[in-house]
This record gives sequence, C-alpha cells and structure tokens, in this order.
Amino acid sequence: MLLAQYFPPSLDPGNPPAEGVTRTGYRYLRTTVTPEFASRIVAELAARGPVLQACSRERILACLDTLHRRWAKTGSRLRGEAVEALHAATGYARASIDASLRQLFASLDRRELEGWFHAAGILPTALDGFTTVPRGDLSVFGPSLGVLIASGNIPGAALPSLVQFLLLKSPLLVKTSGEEPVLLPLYARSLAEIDPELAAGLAVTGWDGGDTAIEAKVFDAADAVVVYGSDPALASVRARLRPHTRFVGYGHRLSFTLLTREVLGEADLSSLAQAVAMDYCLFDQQGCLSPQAVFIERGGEVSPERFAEALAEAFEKLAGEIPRRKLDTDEAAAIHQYRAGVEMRALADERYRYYASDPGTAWTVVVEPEPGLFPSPLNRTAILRPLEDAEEVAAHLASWRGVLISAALEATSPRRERLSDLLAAAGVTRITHAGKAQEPASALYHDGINALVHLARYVLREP
Amino acid sequence: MSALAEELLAVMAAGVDRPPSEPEFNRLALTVFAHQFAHNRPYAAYCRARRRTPETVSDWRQIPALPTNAFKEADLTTVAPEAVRVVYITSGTTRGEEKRGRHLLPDTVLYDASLEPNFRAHLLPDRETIRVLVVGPSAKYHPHSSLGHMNSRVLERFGTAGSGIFWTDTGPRFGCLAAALEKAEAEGEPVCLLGTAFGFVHFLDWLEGEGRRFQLPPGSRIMDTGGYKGRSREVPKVELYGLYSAALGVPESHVVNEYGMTEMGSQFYDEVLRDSLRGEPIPPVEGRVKIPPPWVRTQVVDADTLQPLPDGEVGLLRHHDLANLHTVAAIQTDDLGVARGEGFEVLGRASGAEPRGCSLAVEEFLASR
Repeated sequence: MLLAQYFPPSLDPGNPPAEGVTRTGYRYLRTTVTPEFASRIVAELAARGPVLQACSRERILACLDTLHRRWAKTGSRLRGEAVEALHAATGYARASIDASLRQLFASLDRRELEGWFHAAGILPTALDGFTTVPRGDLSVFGPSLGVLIASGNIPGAALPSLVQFLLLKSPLLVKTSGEEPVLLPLYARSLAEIDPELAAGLAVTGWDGGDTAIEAKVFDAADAVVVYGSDPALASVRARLRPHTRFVGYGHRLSFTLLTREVLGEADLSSLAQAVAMDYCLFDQQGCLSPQAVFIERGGEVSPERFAEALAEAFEKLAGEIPRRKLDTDEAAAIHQYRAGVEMRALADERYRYYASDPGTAWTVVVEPEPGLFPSPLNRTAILRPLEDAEEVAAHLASWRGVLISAALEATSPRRERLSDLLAAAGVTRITHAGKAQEPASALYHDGINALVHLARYVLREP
Repeated sequence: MSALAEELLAVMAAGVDRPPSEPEFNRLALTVFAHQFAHNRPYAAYCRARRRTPETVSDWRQIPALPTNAFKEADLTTVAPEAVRVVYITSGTTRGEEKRGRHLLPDTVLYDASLEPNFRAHLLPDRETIRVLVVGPSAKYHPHSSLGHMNSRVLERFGTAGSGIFWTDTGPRFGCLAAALEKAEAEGEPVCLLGTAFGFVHFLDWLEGEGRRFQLPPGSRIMDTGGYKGRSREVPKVELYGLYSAALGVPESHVVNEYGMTEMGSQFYDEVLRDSLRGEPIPPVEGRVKIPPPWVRTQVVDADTLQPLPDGEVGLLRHHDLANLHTVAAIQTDDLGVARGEGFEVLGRASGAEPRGCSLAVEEFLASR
C-alpha cells in the first residue's frame, strides 16, 4: 500500500500511518495529523530554512532539471508508478494521466524555470545574495515557510506551485487531497533521491480540509499560502490568514472552445472533431481548463450540425481509447436528467441536435440553439452553441468575466489575432488550440497571474 | 371517468393490504402505458426514440421511465390543455431562477384515491379521525403545491374539530400552533402534526427560544416529509427525532417520514407506526424502509446504465405509479435509494451532492452571475 506522505528524515511522525481510501476504493497509508503533529511539522520545516537558503540557485535548477527529465522521459519508472497509482486512486484513464504528466514534466525544464525567474524580475544571482541593479542592490527571498493546499481533481495541477517554492528556497508544507494523495509524495521522494538536503525542506501529508485546529497551527506559521480548491474553500482559508500572509488562490474557472467558419472544412473535419473531443476526454471535463461549451460559427463548409455528428463519432472512438472513469451516482444522474431535458426541448425546437452514448452516460453531444453560455453536467458532455459570427462570443462571455480562464481557439490569421484580442478583453487568460486544453505550454501565468512574483520577497539595498 | 380510471380506483379502494396479483398489475401498467403513449405526445416521442411502444413492450419493467427533469421542459400530460385544471409545480431552490417541473392534471380524483387508503394505513392504523395540525403548505395558501393539496385533503378527510393550518403564504404561525398544542395537551386530545422536516426544525428552534416544551397526549403522531438541504440549518435525523420526543413528547414510534414528489400521484411512508401498533419492534431512526402501495412499483437502478440493481446496492429510485394515469406512470428520479425486501430506503437526493472538479458547477454558475 502506498505511503501517501513525505516527511524530512529528521521528523518522526510518532504514530504509525492509518489507512485512507479514495472514492474509487483505492487504499493508502498516511499518518493522522493532529494539531500537535502539525506544530511539530511546521517547526521542523522552519528550522530547515537556513540549509535551503544556503543551496545555490544553480544547484536547485540543476536538480530540478534532472528530476523533471527523469519524470518526462519515455519509459520513466517514476511516471509509470505514478500513473498506475493515480489511475487506481482517481479512476482517470491511464492514457490521460500519462500524457499529462509527461507534458507537465517536459515543460518544467531548466530553460522554462530560468524563464520564470526572468519573468519575475529575479536576476540570476539575486537569489544567492545581493546583486547590483540600477537603483541599488537587489536580493530575493522566498517565504520562510510556505503552505500549499492541493485539490484532488487533476493530478499534477498543483505541482508547478510546489516547484515555485523550491525555486525560492522555501520550506514547504503540502496538504494533498484525500482523493489524490499520490503524486506529490512520490514527487517529494523522487526529489530526495537526487538531493536529500533540498527535499528535507518539504513535508507532504493530508488532513481534512477546513480542520480549524490543525490549520490554525499551520497558517499561523506560514508566510505564504497557495490554495487550489473550490471558491468557498478559498474564501475559508483566506479568512483565517494573518493580514500580511501572502495568498494565492486558484478557484473554479470556466473554459471553452471557439471554432470559426474557416477551419470548418470537410477535409479536416475528423481531426478537428478528434482534437475537440480530446479536450473533453482528458480528465473527463473535471479541470478548470476543460471546456464547458463549444462556440461554433455558422457559414463554414461544415455546419455546426454536421460537426456535432463528427464530434459524436470522435467521442465514441475515444471512449474505447481513453475510457471515462466510473461516475458517482449523482454525476451519472445529472447526465440522465440533463439528457431528458434536452430531448424534451428538442421536440419543440427542431434546431436541437442530440447524440448520446447508449447505454450509459459515457458521452453526450448537444447542439443548443439558445444563445448564451451555461454549464454542462460535465463528464464528457459537449454543448455546441452556434454563432452567426464568432465575434458574438464576447456578448455571451460578459456575465462570466472573472471566472474565465482558457479558450481553445481555432481560426486562421488575421481572425485569430482579432478574436484573441477580443477574448483577452473578455477576461480569458489563456488562448490555446483545440486538443491542447489540458496541456498548457507553460504554468507560469496560470490563471492570469505570475505567482512567483506574489511569493517572492524583493529586498533592495539602496546605494 | 374512463373504464381504466375506474379500474384503478377499485385497486386503490381495496387498500394497501389487498394488492393486485403481479399479472394484474402488469396488465394495468401496460394499459396505462398504451393510454399515455396514445395521448401524451412528448412522452410518446421519448418512448419511440427508445423503440419502446405498446406493441414492443410486454412487461411493465420495459416501459421507459422518464427522468423528472423532463417535466421542466414539456407539458407531459395526456389531457388537452383546456382540460388541465390542476397544476402542481416543483419547489426548486430558494434562488428560483431555474425552470420548475409541472405536473398537469385534469382533477385530483386519482390523487385523492391513492392518498387516502395509503395515509390511513400508515398514519391512522388505529383510528378513523384525529385532530390534524398542518405545519407546512396547504391548498389554501399554496395552490400549486402537491404537498399542500395532500395536507389539506388529509385535514378535510380525517381532521376532527380543532384541526387547523399553521403555515400561510407569509410563513409560519408558530404562536398559534403552540396555542393549539397547549389546548390539545390540556384536553388530552392526541394530534397528528403534518409538516416538512425543515418546518419542524424551525418550530423546534422557535420553541427552544421561547423556553417551551409540550408533552402531547399519547397517540399523538408526526408526519414529516422532505429534506431541508440548503435551509437555515441541517439537523441529523437522529437529533431531530430526539427533539420531537423531548420538545413535543412524540416518541420515535410515532414519527412517520413521508416521501413523495410533485410529479407523482402516490406517496410512500415509513411502516413504523403500523408495525409498532401491531407490536412489532420499532426500527432505528436511520434505515427505515418504505413499502410502496399496491398500485406502485419501485425499482432501484444503476445511475449510469439505468439497469435494476439487486437488493442492498445503492442506486437511483425509479417509480411506476399507476395513479399517474393522466401524465407519465414511469418516473426516473434522481433520489438515491436502496432496495430492501418488499420496500426501499431513501438515502437522499443525488442532485444535492457536492459538485466535484474545478469546473464551475451549476450552482456556482448561478451564484456567480
């Protein structure tokens, strides 16, 4: 059974680990965190600060580059183990997990991480001591203790935040979700294989989110808290932080796909449908980057109705290659209820199109003639919303400003540029291509912010 | 009154202890299906899409069960629009932005015929009439609530002098209710309290605030219904039943939970009062089983495949209610349940579950607008 935690060797958890279980029935071991134990963890981590501070930027970059290559390479033992455990713990298809981890670690190479420093205005030597800048000497420090609260929905989503704390030489306590307790402890252990001293600044464990007795100990000791979770969870954490504690929250977000008429040709139909379907199938529409709707422009060689048919075929094909995880009762019930509603509306409005897996809820495709954007019941439910002109999308996004994140835009130049401007103005913070929704090119600006800037403490010594 | 309706009324009039044989139920269900297929156009289209028609179906279990959400989108009735006289509307959430389900009926003849023997068997197994105190919707103040109709009908049919309604269109009348309870206590007259669980929670809170308690006369009973998710506060069932006993003097054996829905003409009740009066042991508060009346069949189905599940496995409740002659008899709910012997246990509402994932869920979409 997986020991779903990582502690510095100097820290004795005391009690033997207890058994935990995810909703798929996957069992793992984890020491029960009490407020007393939480206090010991944060004290031990804080004590590691000077050791981490003494690690050079070069040492950290080299270590992470080696580590991430190990995770990303073909046939990686680390990734293989993680994929198996994550598949069992979350029910997501192995193919989804493997592709996303490979892409994630490949993206976190040395060049990317150096780029993060650059984008945050952290000069190469400023992490290791004062460095001359135009107005004096600059030195950059990380939080003396960070806390990272990861969510359970998408394996690896919180990993870039963990890497950011490491880059800033910060001791870090990571709280994993009871639904995905796997990846981050494995990552910490793999780090310890390469650089035990660096890894000793890290503790990865879990407790019931919102346990105020434990979290009071943890939050009071932290300089910075990064949270992935629901909006109420974010608000709850934020309300319990001291005023000067740095906070970064990644809450619920909305993503979508936008297809313009130029890209809707018969020749590319099946590959485009496959790409659009892939964005729904990877992680079963559970991520903030998963599309909630496909806006599709009329007037192309392929109509929205024809595209819906092709999309249904693509879903059917992918259902075999990337099987959807088994749904909870409430999730499956929501899809059946939604489908019945659509069938009834379609009887009164012939503009509707409706395709669905049968039996079961594996996938659903609907052409929804009513304008506007509305949530789907998820888990591979694609709602196509035809537009006369792609630029109408802005009006439909207006009421969602503030929760928008990613748009998979398929258009040809110069409309792609024009529509990008429009989407950016509407509040979208990432514009990508169909088929790439779950593979962000860089984690740096996730959700429209540069978190490294929020976490770093810049010290200027004036001349 | 059609011959089919007359036949159904006869089954109901025979009461809950004289069920039709299985072949007889099947025959009635198929006849009802043929009627609905012929006269309920949206439902007929739904069935045709599944290639289930009166020609292809020979067992009531093959009749397509319509998910309740369909009632929000279409007029699912067998009667002409001008013949619809009764409209029951689902309550929806407190925000009330979403569409609501509608149950469209020509009259309440079958509803009442289903209600009375079933209510009598489960709430009044020991007496003909009782003082009925309503702490929930009523036909007078909530004409589009099926529960309101039920409460009023019970009061008319079984209520003695001193019965009354203590919940109006502007909310509860707790002061008057307390006075009525005091009077019953003084007169030694048992009462039957009808209400929603969340309504009772409010009343019990109010009583506590007033520092009052009652010891209602022996034989007093409570019928509570529905959940109270998203209301002011949630009280675990065990705690609520403890409060019924402590604050009102009504023991667990005399608290009967009712489960019904706007889209159905029949209801389900805990067997506890019937059983306890027959000297059978009183089941614990959690896990009480409801047995459908003879004109209803309930199945528990897999939420994904919608195939029936064996006893003891959690799934979605599906009801086949012949009292729904004028609408759709086969109803697929999103209520969680588990089959136990002749009956089933209700475990809650699937749609009330916490959404997962970091995609924004429906509720949050509405909240964030």
